[in-house]
Amino acid sequence: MAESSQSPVVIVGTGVVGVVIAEQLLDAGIPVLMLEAGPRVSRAEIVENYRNLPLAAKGNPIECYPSRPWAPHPEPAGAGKGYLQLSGTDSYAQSYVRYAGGSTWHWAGTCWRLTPADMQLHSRYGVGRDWAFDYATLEPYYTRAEYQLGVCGPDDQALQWPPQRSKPYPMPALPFGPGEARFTEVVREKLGLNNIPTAQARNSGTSYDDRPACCGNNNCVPVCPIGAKYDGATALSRLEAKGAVIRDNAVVWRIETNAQNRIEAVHYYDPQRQSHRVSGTLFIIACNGLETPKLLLMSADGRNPDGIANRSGQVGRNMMDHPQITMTVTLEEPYWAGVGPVVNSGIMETSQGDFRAEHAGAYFRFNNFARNRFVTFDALQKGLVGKALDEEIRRMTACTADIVLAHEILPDANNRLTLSDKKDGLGLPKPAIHYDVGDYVRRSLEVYSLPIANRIADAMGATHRVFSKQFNQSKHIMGGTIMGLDPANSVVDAECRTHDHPNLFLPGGGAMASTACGNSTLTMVALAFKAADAIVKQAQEA
Amino acid sequence: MSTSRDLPAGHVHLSRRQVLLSGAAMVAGGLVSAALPRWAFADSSLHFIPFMQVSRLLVNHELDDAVGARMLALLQVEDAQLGQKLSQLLAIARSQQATVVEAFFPAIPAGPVQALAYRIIFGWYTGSLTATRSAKSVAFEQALTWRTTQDILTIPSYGISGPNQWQRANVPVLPVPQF
Repeated sequence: MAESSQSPVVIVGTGVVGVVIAEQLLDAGIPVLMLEAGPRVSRAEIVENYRNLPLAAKGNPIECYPSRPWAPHPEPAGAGKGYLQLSGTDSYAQSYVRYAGGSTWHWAGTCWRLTPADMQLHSRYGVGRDWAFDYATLEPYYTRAEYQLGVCGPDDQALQWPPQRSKPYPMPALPFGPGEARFTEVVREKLGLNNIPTAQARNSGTSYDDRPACCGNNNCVPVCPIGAKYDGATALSRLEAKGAVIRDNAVVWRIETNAQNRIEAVHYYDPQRQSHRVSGTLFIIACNGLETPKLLLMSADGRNPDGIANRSGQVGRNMMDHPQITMTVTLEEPYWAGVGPVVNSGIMETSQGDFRAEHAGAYFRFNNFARNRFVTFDALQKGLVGKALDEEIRRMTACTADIVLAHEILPDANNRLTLSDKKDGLGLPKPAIHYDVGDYVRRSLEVYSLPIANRIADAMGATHRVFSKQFNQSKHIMGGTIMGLDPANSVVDAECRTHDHPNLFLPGGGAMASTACGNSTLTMVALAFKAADAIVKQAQEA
Repeated sequence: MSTSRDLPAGHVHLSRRQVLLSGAAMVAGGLVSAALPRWAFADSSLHFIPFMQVSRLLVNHELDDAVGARMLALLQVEDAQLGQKLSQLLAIARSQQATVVEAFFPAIPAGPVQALAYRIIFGWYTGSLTATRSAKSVAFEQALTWRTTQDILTIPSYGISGPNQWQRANVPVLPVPQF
């Protein structure tokens, strides 16, 4: 074993959850040491990677984040190929990166809140689980999250999701491009649906958090070239200025317990597979909803034979996401997706209703990615040349659009992450995930979301429509360390503290007891703030 | 630096100095130059002028010599008959007295020569020679697909407006901007 080190608080993971908690601790005068499995890179490097990709690879956000051999993440080639061992009716194929700053590098920046009903599915509709607390309890943390990340959103309460808010958004909503404006108009006039501005962590009309205003580079995914969109990497230097120690290329592979079954230390491998021990008083595992349960299971010991924090047997179970279907429409009139940020609006009201006793709700989104990369190959395949080719590329770019149907899903213990017998480059087990979106989601598609999508296509004047053939994942990993008040059927309490180990916290998407339909990051950050308050208090009492 | 447009038609050899300058331009361009072996630049120069002549007949827009040199280097590696096919394409265009693609493309017989013509067009519009994730990239900003929509869409990762300045009236599909 190589050197050992010590810190009052040890945070594993430097994604948005880890950095938000770290900053709260540092501001309270509590030292932190952060361990990151992957490398720390510059924005310029990622932008250059993106620009050098061939057109056919530009649609995969992971292509410009190549895995390091010691910290693989899912990718189509290289060290991460085959990293996730998938089985089941549906594929839990995820995208995330093991880089300093985490997967907010390539998120769209969407910041929907849950609604009060989203947190009480069981008591209101008799399905799923209720949260350990209600919306009113979470609301102040949502507000802190919005001000920390710099979330823009509408001032008009009728356009806010949900309208129950204690403070306005720190910045106004971003304007719509022409495609979003036309989409909003037709669904309102023909269907009575409200396509509202997305609350998003993107600077609107002004600088914020020492980052510039969004200039509509239409590249939020896979990387904002100017840092106008919040990502965890933008906070790292500030944390260091406040005293944080950030150690990259440090792959935590074991959590060590002591005789009292408290966490005593974590162990990490460096790229040369030298092991290092880091002891501390409080530990936060914030490695996202896949790597966190994997680490807990990998760390099984004599006191915790099924894994750390797993007395309930729920670690790695209840894996959730937002199963989505994409409808690609061809239109008679030009909509011109691709002006402004890539996700800028959505129909959220369709996620709510008493129907949730029977089937999932759904959220509909006009994707605002420039369409050239989706249509150019098809236009070329038609064998056109000269002016006819130019006109066809332009027509297909202007007159096609993707509408995404994103569904909620219920927690199901059979949707489960376990440790594969396949090993990664360091000899650590790869994650295996068994997944089925379930009848609650399939029924929604059949009787609810697909009919609405067809009405939307009609309203848009679609001459042709194609639906994806299977449910794809939205890359919103939730559920693997689920929260609850009963230690017998949940992993963490209302503060994201493990029921089994009083000095171990697992904040983030893994704790979410329901998914609703909107993207999960803002809720993860709100949970991070809630956990941070508890961690600061616990650290000060220690 | 001289460009392919400065040279008379039929002048197919670049001087040593021109080759070196072409290589320097590619390196200065920064894009994917590291992906190509050094020998590829010199070897592909043998066909550079006819390749650009054929390219300008097939794609009637402003074309960048450095992008052409990178594309040619890739084609040369995989097609030993490239020079012969380029000559055939030029001969067909001359026989039709063509200055634009519409004037001679129908006269290109189906088969390897036509396939090359489509491939060259594909390369100029997409910046790569195949629709695969492992394709070598020869251009991003200069890929012509972005030019067809340059009046309304930014090239992703670049910007064409200031903060919150992207609201605009929807523009018609036609006409296609000049580029």
